[in-house]
Amino acid sequence: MSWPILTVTLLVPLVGALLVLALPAQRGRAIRLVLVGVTALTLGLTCVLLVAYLAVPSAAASRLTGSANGQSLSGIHSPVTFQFQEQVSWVQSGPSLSHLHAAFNEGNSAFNQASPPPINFSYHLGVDGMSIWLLALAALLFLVAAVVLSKRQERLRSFAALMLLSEVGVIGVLTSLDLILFYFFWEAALIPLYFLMIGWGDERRGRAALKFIIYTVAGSLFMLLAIIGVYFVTGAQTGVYTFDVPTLIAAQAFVETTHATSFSLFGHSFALLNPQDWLFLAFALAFAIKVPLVPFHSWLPDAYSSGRTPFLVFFAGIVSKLGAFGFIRYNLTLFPQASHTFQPLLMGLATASILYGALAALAQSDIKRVVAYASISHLGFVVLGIFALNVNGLNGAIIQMVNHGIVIAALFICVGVVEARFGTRNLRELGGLAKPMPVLAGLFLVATLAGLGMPLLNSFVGEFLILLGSFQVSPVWAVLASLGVILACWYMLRLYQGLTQGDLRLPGPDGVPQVLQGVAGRLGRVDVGPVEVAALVPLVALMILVGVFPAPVIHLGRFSAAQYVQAANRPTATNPAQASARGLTAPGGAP
Amino acid sequence: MNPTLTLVLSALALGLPTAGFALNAVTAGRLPRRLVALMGPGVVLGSFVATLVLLASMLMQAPSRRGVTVTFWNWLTASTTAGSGVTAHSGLNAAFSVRIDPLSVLMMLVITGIGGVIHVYSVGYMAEDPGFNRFFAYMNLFITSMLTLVMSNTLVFLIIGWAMVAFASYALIAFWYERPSAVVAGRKAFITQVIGDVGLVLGAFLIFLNLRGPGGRLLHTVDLQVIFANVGPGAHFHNGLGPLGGGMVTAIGILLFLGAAAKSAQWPLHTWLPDAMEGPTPVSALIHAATMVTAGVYLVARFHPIYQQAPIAAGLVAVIGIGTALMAGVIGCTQFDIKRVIAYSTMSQIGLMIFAVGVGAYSAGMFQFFTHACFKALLFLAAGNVIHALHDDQDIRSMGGLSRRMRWTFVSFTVGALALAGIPIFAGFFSKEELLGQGLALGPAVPWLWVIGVSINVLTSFYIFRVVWVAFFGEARSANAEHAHEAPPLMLIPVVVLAGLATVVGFLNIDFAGFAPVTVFQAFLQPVVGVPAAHASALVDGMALLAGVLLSLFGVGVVWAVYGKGLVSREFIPQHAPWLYQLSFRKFYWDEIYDATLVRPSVAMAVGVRRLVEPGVFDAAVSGVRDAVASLGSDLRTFQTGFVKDYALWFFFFTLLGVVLLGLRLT
Repeated sequence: MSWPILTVTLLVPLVGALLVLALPAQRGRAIRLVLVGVTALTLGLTCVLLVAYLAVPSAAASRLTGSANGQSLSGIHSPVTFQFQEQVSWVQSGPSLSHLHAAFNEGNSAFNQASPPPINFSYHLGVDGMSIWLLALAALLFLVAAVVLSKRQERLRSFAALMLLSEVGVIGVLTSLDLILFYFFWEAALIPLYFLMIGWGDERRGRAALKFIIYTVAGSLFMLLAIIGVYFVTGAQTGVYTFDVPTLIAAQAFVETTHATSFSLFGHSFALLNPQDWLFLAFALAFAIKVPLVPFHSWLPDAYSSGRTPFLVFFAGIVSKLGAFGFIRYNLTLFPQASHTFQPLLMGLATASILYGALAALAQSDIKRVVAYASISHLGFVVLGIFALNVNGLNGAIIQMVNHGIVIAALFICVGVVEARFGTRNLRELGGLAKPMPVLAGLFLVATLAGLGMPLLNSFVGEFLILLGSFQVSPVWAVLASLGVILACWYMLRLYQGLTQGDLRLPGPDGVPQVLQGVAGRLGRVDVGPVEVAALVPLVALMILVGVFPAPVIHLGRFSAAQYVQAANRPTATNPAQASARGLTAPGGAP
Repeated sequence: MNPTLTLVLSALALGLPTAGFALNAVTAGRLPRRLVALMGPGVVLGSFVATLVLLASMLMQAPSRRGVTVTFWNWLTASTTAGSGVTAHSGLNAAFSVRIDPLSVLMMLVITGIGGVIHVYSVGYMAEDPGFNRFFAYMNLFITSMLTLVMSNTLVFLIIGWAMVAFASYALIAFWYERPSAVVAGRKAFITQVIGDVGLVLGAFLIFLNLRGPGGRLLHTVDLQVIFANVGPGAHFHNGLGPLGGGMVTAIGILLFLGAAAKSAQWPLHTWLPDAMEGPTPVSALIHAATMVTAGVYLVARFHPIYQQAPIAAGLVAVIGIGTALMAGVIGCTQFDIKRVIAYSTMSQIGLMIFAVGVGAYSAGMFQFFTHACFKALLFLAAGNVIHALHDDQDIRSMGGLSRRMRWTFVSFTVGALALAGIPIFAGFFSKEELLGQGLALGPAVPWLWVIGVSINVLTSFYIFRVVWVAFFGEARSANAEHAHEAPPLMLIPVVVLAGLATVVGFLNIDFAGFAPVTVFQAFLQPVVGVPAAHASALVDGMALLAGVLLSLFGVGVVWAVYGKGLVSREFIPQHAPWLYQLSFRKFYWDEIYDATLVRPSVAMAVGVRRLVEPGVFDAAVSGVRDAVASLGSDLRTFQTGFVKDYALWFFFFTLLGVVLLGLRLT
């Protein structure tokens, strides 16, 4: 790619936001047109990217393509490779990876030398087979959100601008290959999301936004500390002080991760956590809040139940994936040993999320909260797959991130339509809607089936691979998680059947549901309109397409999945000799 | 067999019903009814023709060359190979490939043949229904799914078909979605099926992760032919338990059977089937009699290389099969809903098939499946005529005297009943005779097995002739029954066709007075399932035959004595053994047991999560933090200006400060 496509992708929504702000606030049509156009253009760019990525020869990826800080790095491999890299140095001082390379060749003595803490960080973008799919998903969902955004939405201009700004943040998080840049976009995405949350929604939105901000800021704070920690720990041990992600990933092979100290209690020896473990946990906390995993989830039901449909389409669809993305991109690669140390913890939390989310979804009467808890349960599967730390689990997690985004967006559009038509989200006040709304019922049925993991719809592919991957680790995980599959069938059918089947029930004047018989015709036109169909049909078509032909999605992702697995399972060394003995590439090996 | 021809024909067989479904689904009920009435049955019959051609081309081959595998498309490849820098040997690779061999063709013939007849019948049965197009969409989808299940050559697509039939079944049970009872029944069926799916999936995982090929290399394959070729008596799954098989292969057998039990309504996952009678009657005939519920029998027969290595699992299968057969027979005697009686009869008959494949009498089990599909579909469709004539009344107590008003239906139903009871010349006679003879020869020679087999025989003929007597003889007991009319030709001809089949198909299994040691049917299936390991001696065979016929006649005689002549009071059992009557009438209380032990605790936990844990634990924790922050923050309120740029400025300021401070400290 001779032109900086990632930067362009990043700039298009930003320019779009400025364009929207330049329009007069009362020109709703024009604002919507610009919004749809800009998000469609972004989607087009990611599609170009996908096609171009297909052309990347897979063998090229086992080398660190491009170079960090202008130095050739033959001989030292980053196990994860990135394509379409763009790099502009901002601040650069002190030794770089070439220094590490030199030290490596000279032997152990050059390591651990005291060197001044330099600042190396750069504007560095790139994608791999995982993030490219999330990028496409993000672009798609922002377009879908733009389509379902009504031009009668109050304060449309602000909504549109904030939406595009959050798209910039999301794309930035997914493409940045520098920890500082990553952190910048991570926080930058948070601000418009917070204002979208507090500015639009039902009466509980203030509380929801507050909860959200408390959680995420707490998580971000730990992550910031950890980013700085990675910088210094890696720097102190290898002499390479950098925020550059590929370089850091490569350098981890030389970072001491053995448990230096342990204490003995009642005859058992307990290892104390080493710095790597602490850093892992700090990153994990931020990502676990974003996903969210169960003890950190309580911001989600409020946020998802109070938000407007267009907001939820991309908020539930893509923002939650950023946590899972972070686990894969940073936890697995930067802390391979800690990933194994905490594998039972993370798989346990993931399983807890699956089961707890499912149980909670089963008892909700608010239709949006059912979907919200279902989302927690489904994302538990993604994290379970990630921390299976094997090929099946990670492939499943990658495809499941995409699947979940598609499914959850469709589900929120469906329940959003019901809420908009009848002014209630209470499952007890609604029923039998398939009669007056047959088209919605049909589309909703496909989304429901995808949500409960029906084969030949997209989620089955991911869940199957994830269950297989976790089964490889231990059957216990797969058996527990498959209880979640059974519960998913239950709560999804409870939602779908409760809304669409049985007697026709609508909210009555005094809060008592009315049971109506034979009046479906008198309700008038309540079924989905052309806008909702235009938003839902592509999503439903994708559910079927990915379910029947998952090979293309897996094909682009599997190579990176294998690389991440390799990165998480690589031997870590206390010194180069040991690294070499454990099968790492010999110093000065073939270029 | 020519691979290209096979590919085209199997693609046609699968593709036609799929196209029928897709057209109906995409047009969302806008297609004209007349077109759907032609297309719905048409695609299934087209599929049947393709299957017949497949059968013909198969029969032209030598028996050893009657299996062929064709691949449609590569579903996914998660593994990467050594050439690409990273290797991932254990990644899942799965293709959509189908296996055409005698077993799958037999299943396909029944699915599309009997299915086609039932589709034709449905055109008449559903003629007045507003959901006509939707009905045929789901029926066609079911045919596609069921064909996928039986044709698949990979574990993955077996599972896919397995779960898709569950959905089609759900959609058709809850077809009349305004009825709350139908909605609940559909959900119950679906959830039960998912429990079974999980068992099947876990069993598949065990195979995928543990099967070793020559040289002890892990195969990581989902290809059924590769799996069966490597399961053999070598060390591939066995880990030292000798002739009992290893723990691994036993676990696989049990997990797979969990799937089979859910699909085939075997204890402990049987309770959904009677409730499934909420669906339209053609659905019951197609899904809950002829095809889907026999998928469990197919599964055990298909996976017989595994069950042969796992005697413990196979024994469990047989015990559950015969136990369910007995239990369902007992329950069937006291039900009043005509469809439920037939449903329990189905459960009982499938129990017998499961027993047969459990003890290793694969072709006997499959033959029982074949004849059962004919006569049970017949019984359901004939019952459907009755229900239609009585305006959806299904209670046999409000019928009576229908033999005069619905002569053809009566004759057909009686043929079905005779076949079910195993009266000579009718299909059930041959299949049951073979099944009991082989089952007893292969199974353990213990007296209780004889007693159970005998009891099932008596019960079967009792409950089905009880229906015949109460519904068709005597005086009409309701206005509807008085005004009942014979069904229109569109619903009558399929019934008569099935009655003809139920009369003649049994002859496929005559061994022509001992000239051929294996029958036509056995010879047909031999390439897949082999011949039975043991033959019943002439004595055992003869006794089974004689006992079967006499006991069936005894059951008919009891009905005649109780319901015909009134020699014995109908209240005899309820009065003298009320516990037995209640046990039977309340279906052994399984619904109540599951409700108390599984459903209610789950709901209680869910409600507890919502009412107690969420607000009490998680929200409280957040509130605590918020309050702490708020008390701190009241001093800092001056910073809260409400302008975004101020917040952004502070944010970056503190971020920078943090970086600098930490940087200083750590160095």
